[in-house]
This record gives sequence, structure tokens and C-alpha cells, in this order.
Amino acid sequence: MRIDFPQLMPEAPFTPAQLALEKSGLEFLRNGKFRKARDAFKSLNKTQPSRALPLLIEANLGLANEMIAKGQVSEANQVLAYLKNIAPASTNLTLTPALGKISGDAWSALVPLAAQRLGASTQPAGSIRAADEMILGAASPDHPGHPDAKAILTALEIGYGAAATEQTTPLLRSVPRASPFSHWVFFFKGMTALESGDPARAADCFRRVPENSLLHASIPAMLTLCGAPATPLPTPRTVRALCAWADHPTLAEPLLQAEPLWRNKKRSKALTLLTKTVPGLFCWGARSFQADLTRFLTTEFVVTHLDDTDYGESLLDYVSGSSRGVARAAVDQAFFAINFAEYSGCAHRHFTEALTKLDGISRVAQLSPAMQSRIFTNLAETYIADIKRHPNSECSGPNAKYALEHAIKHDPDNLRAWLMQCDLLSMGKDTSTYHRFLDDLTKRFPAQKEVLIRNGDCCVNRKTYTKALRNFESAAKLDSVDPRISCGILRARLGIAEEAYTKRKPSKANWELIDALASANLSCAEYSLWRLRVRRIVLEARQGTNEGTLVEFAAATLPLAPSEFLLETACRFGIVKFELRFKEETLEKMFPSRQGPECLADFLAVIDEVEAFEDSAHHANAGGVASRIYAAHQALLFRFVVERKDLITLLIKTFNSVSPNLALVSPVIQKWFARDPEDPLLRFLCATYRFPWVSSPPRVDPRELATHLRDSHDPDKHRLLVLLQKHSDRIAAGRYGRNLRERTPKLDLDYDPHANDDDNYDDDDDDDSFQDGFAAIDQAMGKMSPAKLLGLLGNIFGGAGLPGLGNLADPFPGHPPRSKPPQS
Amino acid sequence: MNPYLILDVPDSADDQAIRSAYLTQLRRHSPDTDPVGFGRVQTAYQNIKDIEARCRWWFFEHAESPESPIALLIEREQTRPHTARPWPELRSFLRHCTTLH
Repeated sequence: MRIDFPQLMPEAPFTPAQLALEKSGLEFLRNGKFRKARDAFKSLNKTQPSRALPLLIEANLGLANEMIAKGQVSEANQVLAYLKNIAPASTNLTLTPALGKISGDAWSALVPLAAQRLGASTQPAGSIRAADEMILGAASPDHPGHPDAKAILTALEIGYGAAATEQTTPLLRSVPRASPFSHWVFFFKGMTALESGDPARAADCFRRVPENSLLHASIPAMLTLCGAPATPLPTPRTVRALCAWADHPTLAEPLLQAEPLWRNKKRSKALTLLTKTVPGLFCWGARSFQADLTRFLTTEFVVTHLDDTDYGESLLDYVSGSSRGVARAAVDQAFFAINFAEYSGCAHRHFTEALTKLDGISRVAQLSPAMQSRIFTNLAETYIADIKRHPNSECSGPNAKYALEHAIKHDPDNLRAWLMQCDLLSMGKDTSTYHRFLDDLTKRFPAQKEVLIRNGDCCVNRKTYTKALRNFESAAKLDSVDPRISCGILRARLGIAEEAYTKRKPSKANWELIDALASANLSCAEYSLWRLRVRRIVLEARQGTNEGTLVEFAAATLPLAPSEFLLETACRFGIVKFELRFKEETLEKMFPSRQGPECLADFLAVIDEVEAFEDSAHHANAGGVASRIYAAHQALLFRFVVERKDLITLLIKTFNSVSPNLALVSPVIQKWFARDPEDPLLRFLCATYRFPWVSSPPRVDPRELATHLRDSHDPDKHRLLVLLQKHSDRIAAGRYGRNLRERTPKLDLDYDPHANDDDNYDDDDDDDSFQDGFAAIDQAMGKMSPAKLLGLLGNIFGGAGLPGLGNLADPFPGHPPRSKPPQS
Repeated sequence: MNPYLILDVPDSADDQAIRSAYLTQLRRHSPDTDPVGFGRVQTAYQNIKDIEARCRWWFFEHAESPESPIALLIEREQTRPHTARPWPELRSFLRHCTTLH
């Protein structure tokens, strides 16, 4: 700043002391030490005002700017007041604090000064600077007095997102182009375009910010963000701005220092510098620049510069020597990810590339053999999983085998690799190789539980039970609580017992079974204690070693046994001994433990078993035995079957049974009909079963049927539908003699309650609709919605009697059929 | 272009997180208003949508690695979704830029 001071009177030249003082003052002024410069020129001004006053004013202005930059507004105003006293009127006393020296709090102090300058300034450059100070220093839009500043600040406060465009556009339009704030409009539009993903437009807007604006300091960085940098290589200032934009201002200096090293292929030194200066490096998984930088450094090693052993060694020295477990895990993760590189394909190129990378990593990283083996095992695991998903895969098997061979070669003690190879062999067809491999593996790892269990299982499947038992017992010494081992021991002992029985050694067999029972574990699902007992009895009965055991067994265990085992027992006894007496005794013990309609259903199922002896000499007694059992337990059945839903469940469950057994049930059904002779579903079921006392086509209310179907469980519904289908087939075969499936039913499956209002229920002309209905069931079963199902049933039963039963006598004399289904 | 940055997800993101981020970015870059961004987001998603794609991208298609750490910084900031920064944050950035040399 030069001040033209008028020459009033001639003055004497400076003395040497004054010259020295002036020199030191100028030195202070150059170094920005305005207070000391002011003191020096103040004393000179007393004797040499024409020469010292301009320097004094300049020192005071610098001091005032410094104060403003520090936020000391009142002190700066005092200095300005002093300057107005001493300076000529034409002197420009505008305060323009130097950029880079304005502290955060001082920005707000600039606003009133900027407003004054904005009003007084006639030069555009000064106006732009004042406008920028006003915008950047304002705490709120209401603070500055300039209307354009208020509009800009309001728009900035609203935001430059797309959602705020409607609000901000009128505000920005209110700023005229000649306004010193107009470049803020361009900046605002640039930010909006950048946010909305239009970098080209954003760059155009940013380029229109004038160079003398404070905003221009950020423009190179903004242009770089838009992909349109001003220079090919970013300047340090741009890098610092970008780091500030990325919320990592402290990373700028390390990056600037590492950049030339990296570009000059001194990656090792750059890595060392970065690891020492960038905090938080080698933290994976986070969404930060440090994480990206870590990935960049590792990727550079793994993918791009695998041959740069210096760099690789530096990287892995740092990582391996790091006490941070995360870093180690990160590299491990990277290695593991390589194992997935050939996840999907059979492309051998990828496979070889992956292996090459693994070898390179292992070599450079000097990984331990165990680590290398682990990597190859992971790779093999991927291939084995691929084989399970795609059994026809041609390359996965050889690749897995190759990887496992590598894994075992690196670490022969890698049990996981051995077991995986075992899995791989078990998938093949060469069982003898698999068996030999397992035997060798057992010799190699005699104290490994998993190996012993696998060998034991394999031996059981091969029926070499003694060897299996030996393996399982060895495994039990290592782990006494593993259920697989106890289960295996049981299987092995059972096998030995069966072999002994087969070889006519019942004593040995019994002892094996007794041992098995002693070691039986109830938690073992496959061979529970009950099943063991059943097997023991069956085996003894087969060999005739203990005739009295059966009764003893029934008395002791049947009241507590699960029903499925009771049935199994009954069937096995019958099969083995061909004596129905055992069934009878079993059932006598069985029924008290059963309840509800399932009791009768089980009974009928057992009777069916009895009838399976049709070709045996005992078949003649089957009906008599069944009748005796029924007579003995009739009261029991009647006591439990008391509700309609139980009876219907019973009927639905037993529709497959043959008529003699159903005849046993008929008293129960008749008893229920005595209560409600118009029950539509029971009438339908009875008609379907062709009970001899059914004499007329029963009428079925579709809503009743529908209600039951809606309330019943799905298996029951399915059974009923199957029943209907069977019924339709029977009708088709017996009466019409044509295949219903060849017909294409064109039924409207949506139930219309008014569709059959005009039909006569006894009219046999509706047979065709029945056929259509059953055919529709046949076709639509399994994909019909409940609503359509109900509608279909309405079509079937709502308007006509059941075909095929029309000539039977009315079983319900005195109870007229229901006239019509309800309309609503 | 780093798909993780384009979708704004960390390295450790699983399939579900990546899918969610993809849908978020699609809403931001619709094919009508920003076809370039839309294509970029789609490509990014295809590159890392599941473990298979991620591994393939990571080890076999990740050829366009930045050439230097600063290039990484620039690429990261260019590809990262530019969310609308509130004015106080932007003002701090602009003030900070005036202090740079």
C-alpha cells in the first residue's frame, strides 16, 4: 500500500540513528511484525513526518488487519480511529486481513467491516472480496444487511439438494448478475449439479467463479471432484483441499510426501512412510479412507505388483510384525478370499491364476507350511461345496483333489485336509479305495476322534461290526459324551448281535444286546431304548430262546411305550411268530395308553396288519381275534369317541380300510346319527363307505362340509379330497365306463350359491356335473385355493344327490332330506 | 471405478447390505435424469452383488487400480456419492480452503 503524502516543508535528512531505526522498522514491516514496526515509525514520525508517516500508516493498517484476523475488533477499531486522525482524508483505510490468517471467530467480526466496504467500494474486486467475507462470516441469513447476501445465505441454509430447488430458485433469481454476490449463485448451482450427479455442469459453474474471490481457493479441488481438474497432477493445495473435503485434513502431508516415492517406484519407502504417518492404517471393514488405503496397498501387492518382492516383504514385514491382530486377520482374510476366486466356474485359467497367486503370496510372505496348507484346504473346501451343488461338475473334483494334495504336501498333519479328502473319496464310486484310505488314515491318526468315528460309520455300513465297535470304543476314550459315538457303539453291538443270532449263537447275541441296552442313551434319537428293547425281543423270539419274554415285555414296557413302537412290536411279533395271540396281548396293553379317535384308528390299522396274513394258516382266526378285541374294548372306544369332529377324523383317517373293519365302526357312527341324523358330512361319508344300512342318497349341505373342511387340519382335508377322487373313479369305472380324465371340465370353480337354485336334488340328470366336479377335483387338487375348493364342493353336493347311491334305501326314515342349501 | 465406493458400502458389506445400497443409489441416479450414473451404479452392483462376483472383481477384474495414493484419494472422492453437505460444514470447508497455500 502506497500513500501519496503531500510535501509540506523541507526536512533534514535522517541521521544515522534514524536511518538505522527506519531500516529496522522496514524489516519489521516486511516480516509482519506490525506492532514493532509501528513503534519504530512512530518515533521517526515526530521528526520526519513526510517520510515516516506513510510507513506508520501502513504499519498501523497491518496491525489492524492482524487484530481483525484474530477477532480483536474493538482493538482494531481503536487503531482505525487513530489512523483517521493522523492520515490524510484521501487515504484508503480499508481493512483486508490476509487470507490464511483469519481465525474461526474472526470471520464473524469481518461482516460489519465487509458491509461498510461493500457500501463504500467502487472497485469490483474489493466488492467481491467483501461479499465473500460477508457470506463466509455471517452466522445467520439475518445478520448481514445486504439483500443479496441474505438471499444467498438463505439458499445455502436451505441446502442445494434437489428437494430444495423450488425454494432456492426464486432466492437465487433475486440476485442480479451485476451484484458482487453473483458468483455465489454459480457456486451454488455447481454444488447442486455435483450433488445430483452432473459433474460436467458442475464444472462449468465452478469455472465461472472469479479468481479474486475467496471461493476460488476451493475451486481446483471442486473441479477435481467433477473429474475436470485444472492441471493433470493435483497441486499440493488441491490435495490439501481434497483431504479437507474428505474430512481427513491431517492426511494431506503424508500423502504429499509418499506420492513422489510411490511414483518413482520406491513403494517400499512410501509404504513405510505411510504406515508411520497415517493413523488407523490397516483397519479393514470400515468405510474410511484409511480402509481404502489399506485395501489399495494390499491389492497393489496381491494383484498388481506380486513380483515386487521388496514391496511385498515390506508390507508383510509390517503386517506380520504388527501387534495388531486386525492386520493379521486382514491378510488372512485376503488369502481366504483368494480361495473363493474360483468359486463358481470351471475356468481353469482362474484356478491356475488363484494358485499362482497363492504360491506367490506364500513365497513372498514366507508363510508357515501350516498356513499355506490351510489356504489350500480352504480352496478345496470351496470346490467340494461346488461338487455338492453341481454333481455333474467336471473340474471341481480334480481341482479339489489338486488343492488337497497341495495342502497335505505343505502340512501332512493337516487333519482337516485329510478329512476333506475322505469326503471327496466318499463321493466317488470307488468304495474299496475309500475304505483303504480310511484304514490308512486311522493308522496315521489313531487318536483323532473324527477319524475313528468316520471309520466306525464306514465299518457299520460295510457290516464289519467288530471293527466298527473297536473304532467307536477308541473314540469313546477320547470323548465320552459325543452322541455320535454312543450311537455308533449301539449300532455296532446290534450288528454283532444280529450276526450272532444268524450264526446260531443266541447267548453271545443276548450278551451283546444286554451290553447295548446298558449303554443305551435315551438322547440317541435313532436307536432309542424302546427300539432296542423291541429288537431284543424280536431277535429272541425269532430264535425261540425266550418264549416268556414277550408277555413279560408287554407287561413291563407297553403302558409307557410310544404308540409307534407298540405298533411296530405288534407287527413284528405277528410276522415272527405267526401267532395272533401276541397281537391281541399287545393291543390289550396298548389301548389303555391311547386316547381319542386315534385309538380306534390304530386298532383298525392293526387289524389291517392281521389281514395281511391272508395266505397264512392263521388267517381264518383274524376276524375272530379282531372281533374279540373289539368286543373287549368297545366301551373304551365309545367312551373316547364322543365328539363329532373325532368321529369325522376317524372316518377320514380310515377310509382306506376294508369294509369288515369299518363294520366294526358302524355302531359308533349309528350312535352319532341317533343324535343328529341330518349331519351332512357324516351322511356323505357313510354313503361313500357304502354302509349296508345306508339306503338312500344322503343330502349334503355344502356349507356344512365347507365349514368342516375350513376348520379341519390340512391332512384331513387332503384325505377327504383323495376320498372324493377315489369315489369319482369308482363311479366312472362302474357306471359310465369312460375315463374322466379325458374330459375337459369347464366348471366355474368359484362357488355360486344361486347356481343350482332351480335344480331338483333327486334328479339323476346331474350326474354329468358330478363327473365334471370330480374331474375338476382331480385336476385342481393341490393348487386350489380354499375359496375355490368350497365353491367346487358346493357345485358337487349342493344341487344333487350322490351318484351311484341313488337306489339305496333311505337310512334315515322319518327325517326328510333338507330342501335346499341356505342362500346366504 | 471402485464399486464399493460407488455404492457407498464398506468392504465387509454382505449381499443384503450391498443390495440395499444399490437400491438407494438407483433412486438417486435414475435412468431418465442421470443415465451415466445409472449405468455406473448398475455396473458396480454387478461387480459385487454376491461373493462370487466380489471375488472375481477383486482378483481378476480389479485391473483399474489407482496408480498412487493420491490418485486413490481423488478416485475415492470422485466416485463417492456427493451428499448435500449442510451449510455450516461447507462454510468450514471454504474457510479452510482460504488458509491453504
